[in-house]
Amino acid sequence: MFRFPQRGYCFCIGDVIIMVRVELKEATKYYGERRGVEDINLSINDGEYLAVLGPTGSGKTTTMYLIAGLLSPSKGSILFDDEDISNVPAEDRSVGFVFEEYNLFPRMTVESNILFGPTVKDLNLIESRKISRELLALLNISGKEPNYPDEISGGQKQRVALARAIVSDARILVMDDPLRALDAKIREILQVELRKLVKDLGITCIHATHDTQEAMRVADRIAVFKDGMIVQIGTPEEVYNHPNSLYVAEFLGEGSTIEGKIDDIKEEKYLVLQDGSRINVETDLQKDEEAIALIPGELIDVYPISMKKKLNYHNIFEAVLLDVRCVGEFNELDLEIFGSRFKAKDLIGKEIPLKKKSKVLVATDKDDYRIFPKKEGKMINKKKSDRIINSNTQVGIDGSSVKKVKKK
Amino acid sequence: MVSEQRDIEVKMRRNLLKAENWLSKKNVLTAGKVITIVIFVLIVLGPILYLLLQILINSKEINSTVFNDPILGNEAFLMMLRSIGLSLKIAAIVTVFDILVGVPIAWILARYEFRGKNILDTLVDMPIAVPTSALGFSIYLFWGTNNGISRLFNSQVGLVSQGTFLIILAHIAFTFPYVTRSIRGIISDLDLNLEKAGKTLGASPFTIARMISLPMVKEGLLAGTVLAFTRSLGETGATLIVSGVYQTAPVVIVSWMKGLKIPTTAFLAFILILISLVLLTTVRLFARKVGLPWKKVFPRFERKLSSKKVKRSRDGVSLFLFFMFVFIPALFVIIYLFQWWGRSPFSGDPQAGMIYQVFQAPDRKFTEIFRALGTSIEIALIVTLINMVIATPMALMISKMKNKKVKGILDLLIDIPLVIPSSALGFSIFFLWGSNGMHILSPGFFMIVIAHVSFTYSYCVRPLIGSFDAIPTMYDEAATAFGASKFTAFRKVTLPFLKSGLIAAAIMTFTRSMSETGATIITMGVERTIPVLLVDFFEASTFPAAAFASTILIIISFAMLLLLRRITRRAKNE
Repeated sequence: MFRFPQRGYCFCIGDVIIMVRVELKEATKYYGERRGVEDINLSINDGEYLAVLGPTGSGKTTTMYLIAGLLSPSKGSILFDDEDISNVPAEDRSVGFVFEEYNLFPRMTVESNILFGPTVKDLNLIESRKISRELLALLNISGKEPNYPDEISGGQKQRVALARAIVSDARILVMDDPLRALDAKIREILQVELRKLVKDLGITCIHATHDTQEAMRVADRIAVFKDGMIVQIGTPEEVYNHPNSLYVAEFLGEGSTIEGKIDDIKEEKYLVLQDGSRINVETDLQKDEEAIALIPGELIDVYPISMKKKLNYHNIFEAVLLDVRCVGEFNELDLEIFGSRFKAKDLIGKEIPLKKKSKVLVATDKDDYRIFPKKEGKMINKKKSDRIINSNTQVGIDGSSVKKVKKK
Repeated sequence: MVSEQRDIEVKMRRNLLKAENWLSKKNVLTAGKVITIVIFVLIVLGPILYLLLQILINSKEINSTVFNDPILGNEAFLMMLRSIGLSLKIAAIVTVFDILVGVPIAWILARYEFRGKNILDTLVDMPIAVPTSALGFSIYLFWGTNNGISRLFNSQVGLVSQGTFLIILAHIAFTFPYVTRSIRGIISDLDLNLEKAGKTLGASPFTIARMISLPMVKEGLLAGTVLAFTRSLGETGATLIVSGVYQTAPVVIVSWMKGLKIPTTAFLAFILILISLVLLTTVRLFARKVGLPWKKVFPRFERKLSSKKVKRSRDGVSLFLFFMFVFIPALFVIIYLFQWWGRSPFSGDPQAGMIYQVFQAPDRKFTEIFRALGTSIEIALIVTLINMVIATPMALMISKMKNKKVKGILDLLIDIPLVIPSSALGFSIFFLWGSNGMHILSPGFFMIVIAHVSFTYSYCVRPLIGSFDAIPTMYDEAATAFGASKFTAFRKVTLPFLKSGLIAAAIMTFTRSMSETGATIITMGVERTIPVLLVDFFEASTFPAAAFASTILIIISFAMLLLLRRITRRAKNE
């Protein structure tokens, strides 16, 4: 039998309560023939906030369910603090689970919902009620205790679900796309609140999401999932700046791709396009290797044509501005360079001629481009991704290339 | 020629639309509504109200016959109390058993996937469709004679003699599906994610079922329980066969009625109706408010209850009880029929066999059987037709009603025939329409029809309300927006949607009418329907003939049930 010592709570900020190291070792889950996840090796440190990022059907929910015990792995094991709990049923794991659809019990008040865990575990209810009050105050929903779930808003429901998960003596918080059903605005507010709460409690937290921004905003580290496998794990900066595959690069930043061959002149690497244009890039690929380059829209700087002499960039091209769309904080620009379409983002208010069909300057640095070998295509198999991880870690160690330097 | 025909067609269509336009006028519609309610009151509520009224008006006579009879004193009242007490006791025991077995079986049917699930599903529903007198007879043969279970023990007499215990066994068989049916659908519609949430919060499966799922099926369970209880309280057909000297309240009504003790019968019917109505209304009013007892959780104990062993043995025991106490006894009559087909299995005497008794004996029982069968089918068809006509507008009205209070009241009134004992209902119809009341009908074919219309009314309206509720109103609105009159919109748009619902309601009404005993005995005069004939055969101890009639009834109702399931399933798939 798997038992945990009862413990006291104290929600003083910075006070570390409990920390659990979660480890998945070659965890695999098949639903009949269909793959849920395969060979997941994941280790989440004490008190770490990990985001699991991936599109629908990439195995996020399966991973969450495996950790919580709602599914049992077909192969491999799951460890909490080095103890194998693969066969411990969900009700004995003390994993606080927050669902996408809240799953509040409709026939219970907010308070009975929150106290459900302590009730069924026979914990001290007076104590738990005190904790729940404090939590509700922290989450700005004090006074909603007597209400029923259908009487409160979606954001409030998810806050209650969060409080319910924590009050039930949770050692780990697992959240399966908890903000998906909410409006964009509330989602942003809750992202910040979530991170603050989790860090204040010092609880280990795993948060699955399909939203890149959400993952970057809340997490210490991000694990990117694809087709039931982990493609890359790293801090938000690492995965964003040094994606190890085209898939990760495309998932994290909307960008444009170009294909070409690598050329090599005096230690500098170039991507040679079909029409003969050369782009200065940074890559480990060797001369004459076929490559795909991805450049995120926000890394393309656009200037008026008159500025040509004043700019200090590795690559400066002329482009035709095809279309301009204002989407709020920035303008979306459609550009034509080398005969293909590029997407760029530019801050509003920057002085550039935003006329359609006009000529502009496109300036990029060599480390703005993410270069991937072409034969890899869109799929990544394991061996190649290993190689890429290695090459990327080398880049990561080299501090200068991690940090972006803009020369203006 | 052709163009003339077309002209006539066009004219007819135009006239139809005109007629429908006229029917859709506001005051015509209002008149229609009023007529619907008047019919409902006349056929369903009227008899009951009239009975109540008469009891109050003639309280002196009641007083003198029930409480102060010159010879018997208050013996009649004491007998009433005894019979009601017995009925209540039986109903309570039966209901408890129904819940204990019915809930796990509903759970099995809703949650597990296994081969033969469909068959089990049909088997569970079957006792509702089979006439209770056939069911009672079969159960009596199984438990109470030396043909059934006692053969296993080589005993010469039945294991259970007629009496309370046998009544309980019989009542379990036909009330148990009400509980299962009322919660099965709800259980399969429950959101599994809630259970997952409960699990991650540390609750064992039993705790989850008790604290999360049960509150959501509570109302359905209560409704099913009330139905099971009132059905047991009011059952006549099976009870007549298995009761022996013990008399439950509905049986007392029948026997007093046979002795033409009208005032005492009226008073007993009145009390029975009152009990059922009180039960129905309290449950309706308080079902939502009833909290569940034991908020406290006992984690260790409940965890033990959730273990695989306990779960498996619970499922096994429930299924065993179902087959042992419901299924096998209910269908034993068929085996009995084959045992007694050509000759008695004991003496080998061919004259005791079914063939001789039914077809060759000089009293020509088969003509009796087939005439009764014909009457039953005729009545059932007429009743179904009448109910279709009067129930559809009622269902439409309730479904479309915006005033929630009125809707709630009508909804409650609709259920009355469902819960009051059919013999009491039959008696009040006899009372209102017969020589004591309006003196329009005397007991016989048409009075049976009226009685059957009355108690099958809810069986017809209920599913129709469901079908109407399921039809999205937007189509209707779209049709009226295109200029169709309300009636045309109903015919062209709503009715096609309703087809399977209508057929389902019709089959339900038909089977209920076919299988009714209590109300029929009181209103039949010299006519015989087949369930009543069965009771007659039983009382005359011609078991092989009774078995033959039972088997025919079971086959018919089984066919009806299969048809019903097919239609409702197809409707669901669409």
